[in-house]
Amino acid sequence: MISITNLRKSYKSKTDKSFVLDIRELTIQRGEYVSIIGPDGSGKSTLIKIICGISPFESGKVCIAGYKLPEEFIKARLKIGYLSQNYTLYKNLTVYENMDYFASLFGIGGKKEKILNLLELVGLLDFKDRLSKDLSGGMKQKLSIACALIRSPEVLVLDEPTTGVDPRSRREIFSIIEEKVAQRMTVIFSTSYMDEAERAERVIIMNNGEILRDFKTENILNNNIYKSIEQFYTHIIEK
Amino acid sequence: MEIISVKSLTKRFGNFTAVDNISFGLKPLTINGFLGPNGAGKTTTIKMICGLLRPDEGSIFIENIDVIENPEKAREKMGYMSQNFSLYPDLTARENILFFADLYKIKKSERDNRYAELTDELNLHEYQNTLTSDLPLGIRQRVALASAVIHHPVLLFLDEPTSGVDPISRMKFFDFIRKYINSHKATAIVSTHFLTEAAHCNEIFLFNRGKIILSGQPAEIIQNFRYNIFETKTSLLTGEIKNILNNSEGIIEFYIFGKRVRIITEEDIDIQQISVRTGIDISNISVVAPSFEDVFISLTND
Repeated sequence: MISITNLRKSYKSKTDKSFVLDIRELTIQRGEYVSIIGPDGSGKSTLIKIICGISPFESGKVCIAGYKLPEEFIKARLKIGYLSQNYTLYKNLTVYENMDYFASLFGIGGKKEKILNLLELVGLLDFKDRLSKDLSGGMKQKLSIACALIRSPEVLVLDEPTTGVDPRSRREIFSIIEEKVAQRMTVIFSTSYMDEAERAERVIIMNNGEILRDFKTENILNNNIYKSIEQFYTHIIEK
Repeated sequence: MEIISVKSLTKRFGNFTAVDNISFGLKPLTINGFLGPNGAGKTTTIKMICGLLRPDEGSIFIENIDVIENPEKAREKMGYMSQNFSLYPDLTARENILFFADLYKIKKSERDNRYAELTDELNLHEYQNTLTSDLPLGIRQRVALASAVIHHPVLLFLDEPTSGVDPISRMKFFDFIRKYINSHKATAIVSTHFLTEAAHCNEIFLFNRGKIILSGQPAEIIQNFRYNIFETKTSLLTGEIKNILNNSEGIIEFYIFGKRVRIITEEDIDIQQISVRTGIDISNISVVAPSFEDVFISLTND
């Protein structure tokens, strides 16, 4: 579903530190459930933005759902649902209107039924006429996920989906995500919370723009050395 | 002696009682977690303690200062850090920290010493002359912290101080807080949604609908949790599971994660009953130790 080889992107950050994202090889198969963790500035968001086609890169091959980036970006982006770190909702539109807008943008047919189904999935059907600016943080995030799902993507990519969200909404968000995983959607998310990372079947640890570790969650948890991904992570990064 | 003592505190907005007759005291050398859903009364309580909002009833003392009578004097004892609002984006890290020092009227010589000390302790040297808007999140949090403690407060408010950073940065942050409260015989209040932050606290205060419904050490709270938690794998469809569980008595809450279901029940329901009620084979059900999140979610149930 996702294949990256020899990807390189470099830039100077505003703090004047040069940053290089350097990924030799990364393959994610259809239906995989993957979390990306790493320190602040390790390249998690940059990698996610490249996968979603919204960040340019200097060299390397990036293929999403069979489409090559950046050349086939338009085709690729129909296959990807992306939840960015910043809310991308229109605050003066209602919940329904936001969904309707995104549906029109992607030329979705039979949109009314689709919208209502998705609003039911994310638990916002009762709030469909509320302006999105009047939603709580957790509800906004759930609406954003519904907007990302409107084009029935093959890959759902979420950049820190639970930032600013209360514990109950956090559970509800993972309930939505994992329903999609059960339906064999490919799901990739970044997080700073290790208990969230642990939910995924595969974890990628990034550091200084590189993939430091890439493993099956159960392999770490079943080997009786580390009790949690947090322990493993702390051990690896501090080394 | 307690650093802060709150008695019978009440605040109403029209017909809505935001804070409903709460009392608590915080001792020095403690980190205290204020937890609760949105609208539970945490922020209103903190605003009253800071002297920014006048309570309808009750009293607040910080050391011996009456906050309601003398809010400005009380504020000299407090430091406040919120990752979102406490820094000026168009000032550098250095300018931000010194600005707060000047607000608290710290003498220049003392100010410069304190500034040097904090840049050392919080590892801020290389970022001193960068605009705070250009700093990565983790560094911004450290600058906000330096600004909050420049005047040696004994009561520190931290509002979701480490949201969005990795466990190592979070651990270092709380190491600093721990050292600070030890050296200043201070106390800290951490207001948070994040149970990973709560794990760093000595004492937890769980707010719901204007009241403190539970307080105690994190381990104690989990131990006293009186509900059972089960996890099961099932091939039933989401709608079918919902149907079964919504119609079963004694089930407090359940969450469906694809093919896994997490069920929180009353304490008198055992694994056998869950099996009978759901029709799921007992070998597919396991008893799960409660997490702090389970406690939070089941006790703040609407």
